[in-house]
Amino acid sequence: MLKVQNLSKKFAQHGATVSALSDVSFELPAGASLGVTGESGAGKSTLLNLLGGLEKPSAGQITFNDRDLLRMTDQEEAKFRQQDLGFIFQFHQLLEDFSVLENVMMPLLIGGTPRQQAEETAQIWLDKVGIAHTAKRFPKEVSGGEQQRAAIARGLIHRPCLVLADEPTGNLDEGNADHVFELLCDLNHDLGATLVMVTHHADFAKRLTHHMVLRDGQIKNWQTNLK
Amino acid sequence: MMLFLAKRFLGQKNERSVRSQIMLISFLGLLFVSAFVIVALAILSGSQKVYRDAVLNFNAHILIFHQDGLYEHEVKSINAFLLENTQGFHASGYQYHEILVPTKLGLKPVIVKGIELAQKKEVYPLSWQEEKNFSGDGAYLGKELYRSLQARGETFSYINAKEGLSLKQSLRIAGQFESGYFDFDERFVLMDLALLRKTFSKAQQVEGLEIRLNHVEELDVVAEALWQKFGDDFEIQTWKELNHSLFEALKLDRTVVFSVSLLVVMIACLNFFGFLFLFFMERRREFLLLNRLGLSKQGLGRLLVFVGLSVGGASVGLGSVLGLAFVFYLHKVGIALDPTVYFVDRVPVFLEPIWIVAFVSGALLLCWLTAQLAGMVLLKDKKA
Ligand SMILES: Nc1ncnc2c1ncn2[C@@H]1O[C@H](COP(=O)(O)OP(=O)(O)O)[C@@H](O)[C@H]1O
Ligand SMILES: [Mg+2]
Repeated sequence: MLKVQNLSKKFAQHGATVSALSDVSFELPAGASLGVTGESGAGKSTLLNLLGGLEKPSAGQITFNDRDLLRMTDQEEAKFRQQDLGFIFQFHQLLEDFSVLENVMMPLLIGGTPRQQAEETAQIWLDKVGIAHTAKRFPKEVSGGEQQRAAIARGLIHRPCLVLADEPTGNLDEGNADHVFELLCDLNHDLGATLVMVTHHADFAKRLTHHMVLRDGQIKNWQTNLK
Repeated sequence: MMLFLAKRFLGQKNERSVRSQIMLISFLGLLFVSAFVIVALAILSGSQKVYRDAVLNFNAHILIFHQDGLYEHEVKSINAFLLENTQGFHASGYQYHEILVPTKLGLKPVIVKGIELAQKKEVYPLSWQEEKNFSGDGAYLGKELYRSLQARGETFSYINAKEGLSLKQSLRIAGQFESGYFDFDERFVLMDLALLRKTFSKAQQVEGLEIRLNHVEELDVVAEALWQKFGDDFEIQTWKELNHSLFEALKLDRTVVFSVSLLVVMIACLNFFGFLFLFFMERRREFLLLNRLGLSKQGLGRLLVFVGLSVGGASVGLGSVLGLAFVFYLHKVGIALDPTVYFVDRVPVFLEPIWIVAFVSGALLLCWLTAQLAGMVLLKDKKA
């Protein structure tokens, strides 16, 4: 269960403070999937970054499975990211110096899995996302869609129980976006992880169990989709 | 894992040419500095050793003298006293006389030192070399003087300075000695006291007594005892006092070379810091991403230290090997020097293993500190 209470985030911008997120509260049951939509600048990425611990909130609380995500030491945070958290970034953010395969196996390596085993697992995941042929290539040598698939594989390979995805289909063409979305949903379903996905495709969000619309840093609409 | 990450980050697949150039520069900088410091240390200590050994072997440990000379009975009582108060010693009376010797470069003033030749090896542990098939009385010439003689034969000519320039006489050559220090080897002739007295009609008493102890550690104690006993009657000097200014000069030399080396090493480290800083700055995004994938800050710090130590270690290591190779070359082959300027005829080198160990570990420590520092500076504002 992901529980967010009175979450706020203010940024100092040219002397003035900008409120990117104000007083956001919601609860998401374990295994549920939440689609977050809203206009550009509404605070979607900010929300996701706060959930992932990439930024610290100005106020509020976040707990996941009764764990306070805001009160973790550096070590605990690293451990949480290694074991429980899968992050799929807006701009797929692959490491340029590493091959696609190495990028995908990175979370396992960081978590201490032996190289050989990590490589085998990564190969399986590349297969799952359908880009096994790109294993040895470097990020610059593969297409945007393939990069995004690699990023998904990297976000899920360590079987996290909380997956955060920031516009994973953001810079893909229509057909590709649809494929990647389906893929992410399916894989997430297999893992049984809680998913929070930011997207600007409202119809994607409607296909998830929950749908949140943000505007000016506040929840404008919260909807539970019954299937 | 660190190795894997570091290898990739240091790899040059993506042609980040500026980075790789700066990396190369700081790598080579540290490499050459290491080589330079090793060679500088070797030459410094080599020349100091030559200088010191020569001076110490040419001069005895303790000098006892009087302006009117020492009489036989005085020498005897000093000897008796030393026999009781030391764990063994060798002593030789000495007397000086000045002559001029015609050489290829013209007339050269030379000091003839009369010593007790029977004791020559004990009191003066120089490299002594006898002329072939020589017997009887003769003079031992410094190696450089011997080499520069105008006409070399069984005898050499000289002019007795006291008797006017026109009277040319000659002396038999018994052999050569070499101290390793150019000034001594070119300016001195050693011979037995008896021969000196006979040849130059000198007084029967010696000017002073030179004493070499079997155990140098006793020097201060023995000198003090001598001073207590004979201090009122004679002048007493130890080689420490005698060569005080020399040792001061050597110390100054050392200080200067060490300071310059330290400065150069510091500059190289600064350069290296620049490289690490740039390396980290350029890869901020990547490191941040690794952090997001679960690599802790400590892990990132370790990665940077790993990078710093492996690059730094490789360049210090290679540099030291290069330096050692050059030192070895100097040792085996040597580079000729003009002995009139440098006291020695080739670049002397001397290295103690402990210094290499000290330097390499010191440099690695600096690399480590540099990496730590760069890591600290960069990890401080890591949250973004
Ligand atoms: N690091 C930051 N510094 C200052 N302002 C920021 C920062 N990140 C986001 N903002 C501001 O917060 C608001 C929400 O941004 P964001 O969450 O990125 O929006 P979205 O992802 O919905 O497009 C915007 O007005 C943006 O300018
Ligand atoms: Mg955004």
